[in-house]
Amino acid sequence: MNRLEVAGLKKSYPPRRSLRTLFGGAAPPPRLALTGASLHVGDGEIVGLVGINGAGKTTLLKSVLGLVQPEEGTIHVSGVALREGDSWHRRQIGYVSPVERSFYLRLSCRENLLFFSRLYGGTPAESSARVDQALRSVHLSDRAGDRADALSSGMRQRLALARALLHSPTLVLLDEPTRSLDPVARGQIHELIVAGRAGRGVLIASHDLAEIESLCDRVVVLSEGSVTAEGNVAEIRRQLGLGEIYELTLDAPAAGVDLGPAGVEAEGSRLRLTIRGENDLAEAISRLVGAGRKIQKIERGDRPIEQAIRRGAST
Amino acid sequence: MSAPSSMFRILGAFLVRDAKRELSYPMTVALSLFGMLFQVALWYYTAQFVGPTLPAGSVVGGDYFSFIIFGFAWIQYLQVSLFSFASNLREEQLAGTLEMLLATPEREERLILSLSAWDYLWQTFLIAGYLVIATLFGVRWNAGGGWAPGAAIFVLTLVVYVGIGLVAAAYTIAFKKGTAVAIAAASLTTIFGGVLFPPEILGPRLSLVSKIVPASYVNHGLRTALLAGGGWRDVSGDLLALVIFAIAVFPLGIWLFRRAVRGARQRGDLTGY
Repeated sequence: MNRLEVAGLKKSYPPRRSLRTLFGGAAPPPRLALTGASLHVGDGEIVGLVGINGAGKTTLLKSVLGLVQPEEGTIHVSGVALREGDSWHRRQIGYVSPVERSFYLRLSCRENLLFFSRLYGGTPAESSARVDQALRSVHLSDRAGDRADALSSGMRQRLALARALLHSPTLVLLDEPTRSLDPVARGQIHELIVAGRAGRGVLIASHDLAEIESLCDRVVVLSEGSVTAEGNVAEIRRQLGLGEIYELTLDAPAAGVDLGPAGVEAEGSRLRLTIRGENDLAEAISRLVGAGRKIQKIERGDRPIEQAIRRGAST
Repeated sequence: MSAPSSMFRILGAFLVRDAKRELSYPMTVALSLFGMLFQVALWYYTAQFVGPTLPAGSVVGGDYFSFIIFGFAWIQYLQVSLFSFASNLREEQLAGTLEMLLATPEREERLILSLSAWDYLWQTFLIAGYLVIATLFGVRWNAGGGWAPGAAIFVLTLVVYVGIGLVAAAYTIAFKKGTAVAIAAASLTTIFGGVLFPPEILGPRLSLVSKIVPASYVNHGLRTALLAGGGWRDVSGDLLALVIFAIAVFPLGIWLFRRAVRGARQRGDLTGY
């Protein structure tokens, strides 16, 4: 069963009321946030949601949570359709906000989680057991009594994940879960996300494309409010005819050297190769070496998903 | 889980949370208690100055110090209602926790009501301390058979003021900054609600305004019951007026609040500020 199904979601935000419009001035047009977005998240699946700022990612997540009311389209959580004003479905959803300070900083980690567990319907005894389990799962048991303001950013984000999983949701929405975290803390969050996927669907909105590629089974590219590509990285490459980009710096220009099937853009002694086939990079390097060129540097260019995002943004 | 038990569960969670937060600022707690002492002293000396100039029988209970102590006790609840919902909402917005509260399965109006539960409880504690100190300074209690009617007026006061608080919260959600309106409402109530002086001294026309201010009935009813020993019959007019206000204002507050939340969902600024 799909844990989340979104179909044809449309949402526009009305323009801000201003004195000018009050006195008869022309109102600016509404801002389109979602223009027919559709996606699904299966059981046990981790899906990445990517797009430039303003592409509609947060609006989509907030629509699923019921914090924003879409004008058109349907949302099903674990097979049940949402209606306007519904709140029952939030019992099925765990949410990690992009706001790092989303805790009561004067309360301890345990007190914060106990409070939210009660709001999710837990009795005092249930809540206590759930909180202990959640703190253990994010390796924060030893910090349970510490105030939230004493935690590092990484620990606070682990606490946010613990809060999202407290009530055993079937769908977890993560809005930029590793923003401003160091690589170690990011790695810890990734491990926890993967460990927590069983029995639930996970939707991650993020700008960290390496994170999206390494964590997600599928990626949904959102552009101007609608989905422009969807699938795993290879499928997206195929759908959009994208390749892996490599930038090579040579000791001399490579004019006249046939580099085989790789797409080539040359600028003096710098080459930009677009690799589509499995052996294209090796073939190109071998031909360059054969032609007597020395390769001084190889750098990886835009990832396919990044290209997909750029392509969507430029249309 | 039934709606009432669910409401108690949420109220309990918020009360525990806010008690812990409040007590994590021990100096603020101590200063709030000291503040009561200074406030009583202020009214005591004001009454020493003003009281002797008043004609006999011009204030309910006959003693200006008791009159003004009561006026300022009950206006505190109105202050909580006008400012607490709005300021707590704003505090949660700024702290980034409002979104997390609204992401839970609880209904918005329950969450918002619970957000201010601690403020009412804490205010009740402070008012009790204020009245104890005022009694030591010489407030003349004369409740007699007025305790039961006084309690009924007190409960109705809370219902009416919570309703007014919901209207204030709706305003904050819809227009984001409700402080100016709350200050205006509090000032008008202080003038027309019989807090510092009986509304009759405003003259026949202006004192009519006091008829549409709930605080007038709260102050008159509680003073009559607890300072003049008035029974049910003596406060029946105040009780009737407060019942009418409760029936009108509380559902209106809920309705406006729901409308404000719906509008904010459509505008997408429910968690914005």
